[in-house]
Amino acid sequence: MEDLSKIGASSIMHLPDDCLTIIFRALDCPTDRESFGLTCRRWLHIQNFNRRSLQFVCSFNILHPSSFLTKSLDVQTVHLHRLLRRFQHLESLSLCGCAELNDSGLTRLISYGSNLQNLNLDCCFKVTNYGLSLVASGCHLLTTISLYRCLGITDEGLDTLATACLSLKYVNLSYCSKISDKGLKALTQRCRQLQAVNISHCESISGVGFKGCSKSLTYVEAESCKLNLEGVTGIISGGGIEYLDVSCLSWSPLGDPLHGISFSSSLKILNFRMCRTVANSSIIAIAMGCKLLEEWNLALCHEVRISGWQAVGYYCQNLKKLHVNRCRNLNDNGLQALRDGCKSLSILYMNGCVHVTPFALEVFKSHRANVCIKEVEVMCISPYFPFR
Amino acid sequence: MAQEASSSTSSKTISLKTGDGEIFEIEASAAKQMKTVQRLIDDLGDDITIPLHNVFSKELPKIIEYYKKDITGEITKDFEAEFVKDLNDDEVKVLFLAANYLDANKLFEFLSQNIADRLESKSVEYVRKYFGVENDFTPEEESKLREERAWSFRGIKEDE
Repeated sequence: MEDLSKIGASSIMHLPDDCLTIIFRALDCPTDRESFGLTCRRWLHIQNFNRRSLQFVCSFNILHPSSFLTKSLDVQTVHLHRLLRRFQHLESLSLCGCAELNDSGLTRLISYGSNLQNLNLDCCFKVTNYGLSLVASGCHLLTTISLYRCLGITDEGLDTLATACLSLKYVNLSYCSKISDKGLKALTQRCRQLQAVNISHCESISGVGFKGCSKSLTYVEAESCKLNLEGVTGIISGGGIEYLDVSCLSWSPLGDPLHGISFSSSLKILNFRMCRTVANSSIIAIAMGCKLLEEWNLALCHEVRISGWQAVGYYCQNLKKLHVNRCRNLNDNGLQALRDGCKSLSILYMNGCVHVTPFALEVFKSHRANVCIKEVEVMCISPYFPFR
Repeated sequence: MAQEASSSTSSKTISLKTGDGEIFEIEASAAKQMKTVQRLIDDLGDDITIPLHNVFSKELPKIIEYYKKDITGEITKDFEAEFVKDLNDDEVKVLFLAANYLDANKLFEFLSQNIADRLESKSVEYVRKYFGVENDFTPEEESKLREERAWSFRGIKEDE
């Protein structure tokens, strides 16, 4: 009788890689996958082949005393080179926080980045247009890229990226102060599957770069931006937008541009928090025009007055969640208008409204017992997080 | 011991002969789940005894037991837990190899999950012993690999 245990022990390793991969993929814990990789070359090869995501540790290098001494040696680049050469089938790569990483660190993406779909370069302050061109050369399947605070990137770099990575869907450009409408236009014109864009705190963008964007664009974050009317019109020009965050809109001497939003019939979620100067007339226009609106954050929108609240109450029949925190000009009459309208309302976020009396609040509660009143101020009302 | 497969109308049974000469019966619908067996049936016909040279009398009954439950749709988490409960590491390995030979996909994947579970949180040396592999890294290579391990996060949402 054969020694079955001996056969069992050695013969598993005679199976082809795809069989061993099935065992490997059944391992949940990354530590276990590391252990397998350390047993022998065969398992290392399987581990390397199967690694789909990598998050490169960067932060500790900045604070380490020795980093002040090294002048030319770019330690992070060397490390990243080795890891990218080892894991050639990555789909997700995060270099978030690698503030010292140079463009040269991205060189290996040319050879090994062909499967990459998600790339996070948040706070990679030293990455420039050249680095982005390396990404463009190697990663044609890219769908998500995050460039938060990539201060070195300009319109030219974004253009190069957009020309090569036509499948881009989720692009985060927040705090990219050098990107203007020109770069944004290149992105929206070339990438016709674009779904979500974040231009928060981009001081050089007015929004006009969105003009002619694809209908696939459903999500735009534009917090603390200097949008103008043409820009707002551009944002909604695709016809598909459902989520728009223009909170903390910068004041413009040309007046409030947000009434342009009223022409969007697809909008569902609107964040106007801290848009202190949004005109009452804009609110009326939007309430009338955006019939599908389900959530509207009007916290600190002090210019909204009784006719504005009446319009919200009367026209926003699909509104489920409304935020009116600290609205200076919401008084008892305004609250009554909301009470008598907004038939789909389920949550009202309200606190700090100095002109709403406790009595009016009690009347509201008795008439609308099914509306939950939450005394919290919510800044972010995003339905999902596309750039993570 | 079993008789030769008789022609029946509703549930046709197939005879399987193991590498050590024993014969077992299995329903035709269960045999279908083992692609190797099905191929042999297609080639040799379903009236003769199908020879399985690489599967032995120790493990075939267990495999048949699994697929008996599968064709009636009764495979539950409890059944699977019970199925592997009393098996030692070597028995699982042998079953695993047999499932591969028989091209019995469902059982193969179930057993690979079980092997992975048995190796959960085990040391590198333990895993080496389990698979019967030697450490073929040079000391420099090994220290390089351990160093590289420190350069990447095991992030919260990491899926490899």
